[in-house]
Order: sequence, then C-alpha cells, then structure tokens
Amino acid sequence: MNAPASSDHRWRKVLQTPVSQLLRGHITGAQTPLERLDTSSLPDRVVEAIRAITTQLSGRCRSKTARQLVKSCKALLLEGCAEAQLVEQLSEPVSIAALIRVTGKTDWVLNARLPARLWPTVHALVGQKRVRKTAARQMLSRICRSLQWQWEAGKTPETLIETSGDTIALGGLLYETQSVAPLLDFSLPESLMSVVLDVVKRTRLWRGEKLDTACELCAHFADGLEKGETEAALIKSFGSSKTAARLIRRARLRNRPFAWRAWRKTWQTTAAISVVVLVLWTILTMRFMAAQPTVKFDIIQEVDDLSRSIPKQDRAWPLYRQGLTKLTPKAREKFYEIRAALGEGPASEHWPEAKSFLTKHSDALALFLAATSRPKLGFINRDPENSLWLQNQAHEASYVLNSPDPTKTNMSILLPQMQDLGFHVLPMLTGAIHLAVEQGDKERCLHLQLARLALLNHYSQIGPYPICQIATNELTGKIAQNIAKLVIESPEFFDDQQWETLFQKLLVTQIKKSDFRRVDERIFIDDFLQKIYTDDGNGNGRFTPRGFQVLQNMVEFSSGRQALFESIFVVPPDLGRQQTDVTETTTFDVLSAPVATMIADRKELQKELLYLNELVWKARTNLNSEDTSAENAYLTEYQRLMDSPHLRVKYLPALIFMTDELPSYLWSHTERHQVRRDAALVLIAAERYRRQHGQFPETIAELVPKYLAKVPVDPYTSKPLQYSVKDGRPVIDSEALRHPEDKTD
Amino acid sequence: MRVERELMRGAGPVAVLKLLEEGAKYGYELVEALSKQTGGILDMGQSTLYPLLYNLQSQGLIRPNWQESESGRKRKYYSLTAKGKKRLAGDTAQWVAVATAMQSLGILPHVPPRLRGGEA
Repeated sequence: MNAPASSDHRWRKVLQTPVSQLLRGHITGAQTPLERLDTSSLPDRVVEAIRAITTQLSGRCRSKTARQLVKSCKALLLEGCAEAQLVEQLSEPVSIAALIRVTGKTDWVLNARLPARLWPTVHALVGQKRVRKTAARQMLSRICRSLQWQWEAGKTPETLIETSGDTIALGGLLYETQSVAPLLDFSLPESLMSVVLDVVKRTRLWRGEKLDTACELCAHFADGLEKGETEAALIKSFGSSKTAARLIRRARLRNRPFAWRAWRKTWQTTAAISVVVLVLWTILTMRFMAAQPTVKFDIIQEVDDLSRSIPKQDRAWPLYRQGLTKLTPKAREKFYEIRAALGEGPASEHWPEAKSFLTKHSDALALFLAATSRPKLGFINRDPENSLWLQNQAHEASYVLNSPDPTKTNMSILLPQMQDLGFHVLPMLTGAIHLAVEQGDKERCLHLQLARLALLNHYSQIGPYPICQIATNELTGKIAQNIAKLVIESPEFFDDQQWETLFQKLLVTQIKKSDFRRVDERIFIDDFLQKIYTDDGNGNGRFTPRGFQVLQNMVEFSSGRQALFESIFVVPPDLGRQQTDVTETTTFDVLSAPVATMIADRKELQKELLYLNELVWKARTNLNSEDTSAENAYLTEYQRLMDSPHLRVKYLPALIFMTDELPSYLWSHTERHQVRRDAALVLIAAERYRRQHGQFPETIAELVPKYLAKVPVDPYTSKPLQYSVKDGRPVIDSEALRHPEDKTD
Repeated sequence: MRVERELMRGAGPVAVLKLLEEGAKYGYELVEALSKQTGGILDMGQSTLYPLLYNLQSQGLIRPNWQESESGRKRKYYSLTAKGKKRLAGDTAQWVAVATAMQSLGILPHVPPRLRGGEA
C-alpha cells in the first residue's frame, strides 16, 4: 500500500528539482532561489540574513536579489570584510526588501556605509507613492549620501532618525525639490511638513524655486515652534494652502527672467488667439456646412413643360427624332465624309457620293420634310423616348438628358438636338435642294427651300438660351445668302409665284437680337444663384458648400479661372497642377468656411452679376469695332474686382461665372445676318419687278410698296440699304456684305 | 477689526517696507512685528505675507539673503534696497496726505489713537 505512495512522492520530488541540481546528480525537490545557489562558502548567519530579505520578495525580483546578495557577500568576505559587519548591514530585512522593490536594485545595500537602523527612515523617505524606479534610485542615492555625510560629521543615527520625523511629507518634498540636505536641516512635525509639501506641490514652480519656497516655509514653521507656538496655531495662522500656493506662484513668476516672461506672454497670447480663432472657425464651419441651396425652379423642367403643352400633332421633334434614329452610327460616319459636299452641291467632287447618301436615306429626309411642316419643335429633354436617339448620337448607353438631379453641380445644359438639327438635318435639306436644282425639279426645290426656312423656326425654339437665337440668326443669314445667290445666278429657275412664296417665307423668318433684360442670360444668373446660395425667402441668402462645387466645375475649362480659384485657397502651384480639384485640398477644408463668409450675399452678388452682364451685352452688341468704350467698360469693371484682394474674394462667384476675356464679336454678327436677309428680300423683289417692268428698278424705293413693304435700313450706317444696278444686275452694298466670309461665298 | 482686502492690499506693502527700514528681518519676525505693532489690525497670514515679499522682491524693493541663525538653522532675511527706501518715502508721503484728508473730513481724529500692543 505504501510503496506506490512513496514512489509518487519521489517522482514529485524529481519533477520539482531544478534542472541545475538534476545535472549535478542531486534530487532536491522544490527549492527557494537561495537554495539553488551555492552558499557553501558563506557563513550561516549571512545566509540567514539574506534569506530574511529574499523571503519578503517574490518572483524574478526574489531570485535576482538572492543571486546578487550572495555574490556581493562572497566578494566582500574575500576582501576581508567581517561576518558581523555583513550581518549588521543586512539586519533590517523588511525595509531593505521594500527599498529593493521600489528601486529594483540591490547594490546599494552593501555599498552604502550607513547603519542598518537608518534603512526604515530611508525607506520612508524614498518609498513614496507613484514614484518611478529611476526617480527612486536617484533619490535613494541622494539620501544615502546626505545621511552618510551627517553620520560621518558626528550625528548619531538616533538624531538623524529624529530629524527626519515621520518623513512621509519630507520624502514628498525631497521628490518635489530633488534636493535632500537643505530640507533635512528642518526637523518639523509631519503635520507642518504636510502643509509645506501641499503648498510646494501646488505652486508648480521650477525645482529651485520650489526648494527656496519649501526652505523658507520650513524655516517659518521652525521659528514658530521655537517661539512656543503649537502646530495647530501655526497651521491656522498660515491660512489656506491653495491660496498661498496660487499667490506664491504668481509672485514667483514675476521674479523670473524677463526673457522667460516675454516668452510666456507670447505663448499665452498665441494660445488665446488660437483658441478664439478655433472657436470662430468651428462656428463658421458649422454654419457654413449647414447651408444648403434652395433650388426653386428648374429651367429644363420649364422648357419641357412648355413643350408638353403643345398638341402632339403639332410637335415636329418626334419626326426629326425618327429620321435621326434612322441614321445609324455607321451612316453618321459616312455622313461626316459627305457633309461638305451636301452644302457645296454639284461643285464638290464628292457630290456623287452625297447624292447616293441622299437616295439611300430618302426615308430620313422624308421624315425631316414632314417634321418641317409642323408648327412647333416640341422638344422634351427628359423624354424616355429620346433614349434610342441619344444612344445613336452618343454611341453609348442611353442617359437622361439634363437630369433633374438636385445634387448636380454642373451648370452646363446639353443641347444635342441643336447639334443634330444644325449638323445633320440642315445639310441634308441643303443637299436635297442642290439635287432638286440639278434635276430641274422646281416644285421640290421650292418645297425644300421652304422646309429649310421652317427648320430655322424650329431651331430658334430649342430653348430660351441666347446661343439658340444667335445660331438661328447665323443660319438664317447663310440661307438668305444662298437664296440671293440663286436669284442672281438663276433668276428664271422659279416663276413669279414661286419667288413670291419664297419671299414671303423669308420675310417671316425674323432675325432677333438676344436681350438679357428679357429672359436669356438672366435665367442663367438666377439659376446660378439658386444653386450656390441659400434662400431666406426675401431674395437674399448665404454661400453654400455646394456653391464651391459648382465653381470647381466651372473653373475646370479655364486656366485663368482655375488659377484664381486656386489662389483664393492658397493651393500651391505644383499641387494645383497635380490635383485639379481644389475642393479636395487641405487648405480648402480649412479656408472654405471663412472664404464663404467673405463672399457677397445673394442680393449683392446678383446686383454685380446683372451689372457685369449688362456691360458684356453692350460690348457684344457694339457694331462699331473702332469704338472700344463698351468693351473697356466691362474689362475695367472685371479688373476692378480682380485687383482688390477683398473684392476678389467677395465677388469670386461673379468672376468665375463671367468671362475673363474680351467679349466675342460673334454676338455682334446679328446685324450682318440681318443685312444678308434684307439683301435677299430686295433681290427677289427686284427680280419680280424686272419680270413685270422689263428692267431692274433704279432704287429700292421703286419696289415699295408693291414688292417690298419698306426700304430696309442698313444697321451699320443707319441709312437705307445701298442699292444700284451695275452691268444690268442689281447690286447691294453694305459693310455687312464685305465680310471675308461673304466674299468667299 | 478686520480690514477690507483692497485697503490691506494698499497698506500691506508699505507696512512691510516700513518694518524692514529698521533692519533685515525674516518671515516669521515680520509676521510677529506686524501683528504686535499694528495691534493685529494689519495681521496677515503667512499665505499672504510670503507672496507679498516675493512681489516686493520682483519689484526690486527688497533683497533676500539666506543666513545662519543663532540656532545654526538657515533663515531667509529680507532687507530694504535703495529703490525700496525711495518707494517707502513716496508711499509714506501719500499715506500722510490720505490721513490728512481723512482728518479734514472728520473721519480720522486730529490726534491718531494709540494702537493696542505696539507703536503706530
């Protein structure tokens, strides 16, 4: 029964034996760190003294301490140190162990030449709460040195212990001041030392200042005690530690060097300014981020609603679209090659191919002709039935034209219908006219001529955008020129009735001037403002984050405006080149709210935009190219805003919205087209006059009122259009017709 | 009697300067002297005295000096500087003017009363 138990015990002992002992052939069972060491050369009393210390410790600290103490003791004994002296040195095991725990070191135990009776006092001074090991080691070294000097100077250990008092507050003071000797001079009760420690701690001064204050307060209390005052009375008369610390700190800071005070003042001012700026910035940013534009109207929707109000049978667009859909991408590619030939007619070398194209796509042409017979265009942007046409045109997946997305920040309006009517339908009709002339089919030619003029009417109905009317005027002028050429070169092609019909149709094809005061560009200004500003209900509002997105989209097509936008947000030039989106830069994140605050409010910006727009229109419609005053007025106003840093930020949206270049003379061509149209009308009327009177009239006045309602006025001279008969042919002279383009034609 | 804080703030520095006119004194000595010589009227806690001394020091009116006392312990003695003497003279003249004005208003009697426990 006992055999297995004995065997188990043995195995357990073997398992618990440290490997080092097993290697030596010893089975010792579990051993304390000290037992594992070779202590044979040490006297038993020394081993017991070491054991008494290590027993107080645990873990790695215990093993390490045992190893180092054994090693040190062996070395000291070899050097001739007496056994009794070693035992005496290690005779305060609790304090020594506590100090080892606090400092993590053991070498001081045997190196410090202090009586062991002082270790409890040393421990009380060093072993403060929440002290790092490095600080504890430094403090231990200082205290040992200080006590050793005093001991060697003749003070007894008992005196030293008594001087240190309860030492807890003194220890705290030692750590606060990092100084030992001056404070050990004062033998104060713990309660008074606590007051000193409390005050010194609260002052948060430099160490030297703390030491000076601590010494002075200690001296004060020591004087009080000497005079026979009680601790309680001294504490009471001292007053509040907190107030004392606050006042002492304030007074001490005044005693610091000027440079330090100046630095502190600067730092405090900077910090205060930073806080104020940060608070302001936060408020501004929060206010800015909360601002949302109020989009009240949708231009596209309004245009579409107008088109929807037209009866379906009166809408020409469905027929145009049907015809355009028949032009497949492949057919369109072919069309690009023969487009010029369609305009030139038989004179072009590609005319046979053009004729072939017209024959091949006669179904599309028939649809176009049918469309021109309808009174209204009736184009609807957001019509799902446009998808196939858009797909054909864009060679990609269908999309919603001018989508109503409220988050859309792109201000541009796509006009693919304008491109198709002008680029595909009109050339095909022109080509068909050339073909009819070639074939001598007068009726068809007249029909096509009238259809082409009807197309112009549809063209002008694309939208309330100035570009539509301008383009219509341009096309009207060219078609009128075309008709004038026909009447000069082939006056007999049409009979009198046919010329009369063509005359009447051309007469109703008006050349209109764009006028921003009506709708035209004002609608864009209002749309722009509603997309970038909030609306307070009184027509005013503040700039929004989406406004910057709109501006970002607008500057992408102009390097000048991009540079302006970048300069406002201090985007470095290099970064600007790499990162085109200013709104994604860090400086934008920081500055957007303050900049938005500096931007003019909605009413102010609207006023400036309307003013700039009026100047632009004056410059654009200026007929006299030598008079640059209108142009200068616009550029001067634009430059005035650009030159002032304040105005540049205030009117940033206006500077980006408006053109930064010279106004284009494209806009002033309206008068030129007007003259072309009037000239064509006069020539038809003159031809009709010739047929009845056998000769051309000598003046235009002779045509009035039978052939012409009134004598047309030349807008360039504000006088009647100059007419004469040269070499038996009527000739009209005007600056408008001396344009290089007209000469070529 | 407790003196108003604002009044004490004006009287404290000149009182300390006046005490130091007699010779260098340390903190506790000044507390004692103030209490005794003003009959406790200008009695100030040490939590007020030491900051006051540091302020006077920062203005260059007094100069501190650590010295060993008879008991062998170190004490910090404060003595008046030339600037401090000048300031004391100026402040004294102002206080005399204020006292005279107070007398003429009947707030102060013509012969100031002798304070308990010390010299006025």
